[in-house]
Amino acid sequence: MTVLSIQDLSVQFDDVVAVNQLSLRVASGELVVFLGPSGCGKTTLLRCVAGLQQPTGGHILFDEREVTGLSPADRNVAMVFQFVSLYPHLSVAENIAFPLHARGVPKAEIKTSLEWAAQFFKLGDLMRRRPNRLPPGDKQKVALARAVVRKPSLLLLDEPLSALDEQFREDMRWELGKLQAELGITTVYVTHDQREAMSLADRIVLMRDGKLIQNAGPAEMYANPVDRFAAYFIGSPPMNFLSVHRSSGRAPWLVDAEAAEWPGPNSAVPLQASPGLAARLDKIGRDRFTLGVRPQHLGIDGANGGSRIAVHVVNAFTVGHDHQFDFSVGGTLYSGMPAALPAIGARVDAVMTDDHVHLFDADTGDRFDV
Amino acid sequence: MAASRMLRKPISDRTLCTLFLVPSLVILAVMVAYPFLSLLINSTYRFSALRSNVEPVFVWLDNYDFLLSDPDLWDRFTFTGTFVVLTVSVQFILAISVAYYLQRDFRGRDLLFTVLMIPMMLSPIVIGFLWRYIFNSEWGLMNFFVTRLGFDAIDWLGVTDNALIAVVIADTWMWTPFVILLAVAAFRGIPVSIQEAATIDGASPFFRFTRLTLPMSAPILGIAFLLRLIDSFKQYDLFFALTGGAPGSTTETVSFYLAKVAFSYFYTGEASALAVIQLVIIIGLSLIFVRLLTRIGRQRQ
Repeated sequence: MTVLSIQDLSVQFDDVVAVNQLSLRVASGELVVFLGPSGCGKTTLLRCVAGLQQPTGGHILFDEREVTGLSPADRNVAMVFQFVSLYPHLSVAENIAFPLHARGVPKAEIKTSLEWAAQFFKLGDLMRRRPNRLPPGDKQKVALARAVVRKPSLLLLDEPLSALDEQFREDMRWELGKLQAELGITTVYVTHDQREAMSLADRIVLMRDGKLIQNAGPAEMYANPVDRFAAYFIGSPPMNFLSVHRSSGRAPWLVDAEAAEWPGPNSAVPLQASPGLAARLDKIGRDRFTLGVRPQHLGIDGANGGSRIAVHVVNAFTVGHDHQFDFSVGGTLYSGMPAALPAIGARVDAVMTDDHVHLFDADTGDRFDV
Repeated sequence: MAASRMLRKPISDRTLCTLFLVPSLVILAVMVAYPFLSLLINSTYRFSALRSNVEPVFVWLDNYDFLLSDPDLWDRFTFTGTFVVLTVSVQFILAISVAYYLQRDFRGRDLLFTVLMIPMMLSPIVIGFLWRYIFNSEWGLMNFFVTRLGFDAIDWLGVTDNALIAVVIADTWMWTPFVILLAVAAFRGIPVSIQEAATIDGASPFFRFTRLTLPMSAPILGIAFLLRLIDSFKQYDLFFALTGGAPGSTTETVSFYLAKVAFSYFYTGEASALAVIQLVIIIGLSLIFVRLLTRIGRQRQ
């Protein structure tokens, strides 16, 4: 299987830099997800790998062989698009056979491949039908079958599930993961959905404004986001960001809403830092920084001796198995997930699990490694 | 007050629909139904519109019998058929080849397409006369180039085959842009992602064009084809202006012959019967046309 390496790749459209000197490597058989908000350059990057877009700088290598100038056909990549791009005038079987016909594969071989595809994707009854009338999930299955039937060097998927219903999406995600593992084909998957990325990826390449922000496994990215953007983009509900400020008053640290002007109109709440957090704050030695903590690591009245702030519960509800409570600091809502549901309006101590408190530079958003 | 009176008794949707339909139904009845019925009736009489003093004689289907057993008419049908096949196929081969190169965006695209429209906006009669000058065997532009290239001057309009080619050239000049426009629209209507999918699937540009672009444009190209087919089948003006049916009457189309029977010979009965025959053929072609339209509708769903 193919190793993909991208070296210093740049794509510039007029005055927009879509991809900015990006380098990464996808190991053989690995499933790597390009993740990021829309306009971050992930699709452009994928199109460069496919050969549909010529980069303005840098190199793309398959198995250390330069392919940068080659046409898509000469790269032998397969791609599944966000919008179903099956050939409407051809039957499902003809669609799947199209790349084989285009390459002049002998008829007998095509027949074998079609039988394999029909069995592998369970398309038996659909093979003779026209793709237009199939449900969306089946359409993408056909697209996937068409992509892998010719044993491509790379499988490229551009938001293949975003046009599907929630239910289909779960099923397809599972099937896709299974397919990739069984075929062992090196795969690049583009999405803006962090849940999709977390559940599918061997490794996530997080992008923003054409730059690579973090390149790590899902667990690592969740536990150790490299900056505020990564911390916010990964995880659901999103991480809380509190603005913390050193105070000369009785409490050494005050918390205020991130967005609020400082000093806020009496909205600041004292942060009762645990000894551990206080030591970290002192080590950083700044007067201002951003404190990030995921709702999952923000409970109520915990006995674990974590850092805490006293707040009013403005909202409390249960989603399936999880309790959630919201509180407001300086007009911004924050969320936590307590063990037991508090009463709305109650005054409680919101307690953070210290190990999972992230500290970011208030200006640049970079994480402090302490 | 007036407003409240109108509100008191609202007109039902059905009545409103009927009211809106009435004017066009009246116009249709007067402009289409009546002439058609009178045409049908006329075609069963022997009479001449010139001689109103001679009583028309009811002859059942004798006019049809006479026409269909007339070898002159079959010659006209053969000639018209040859013209239709030639002109439509030349136009389509030319138009599709040109459209292939005009699919992409390029500078001056809008201007080029505007220029392409010009021949369609001219009257066919004017075009006919223009080309008559161009094909003039003594001082025409065509023979100027032909002799410049070292060939003998061609008697364009004096020899039947040459005259046919001359009209095909003029008709092609006039109508190829129309087919180009439709073909480009059809080609560009194919989603980019489908073309990209095929590129990635390893299809060469030629393979993509023949296996994707053409079949997917087939409904629109089919409509253009039928429009051109019906139109060239009815062709009259270009022949009238360019050849006048000459040499002899060898370049007369069915329509040309019809006009001659109706308004030169004033055999009104026979002319009516011929018009009915032509109508039946055109209705047959139109039925295919409508079938195609509905198929496109179904595909777009």
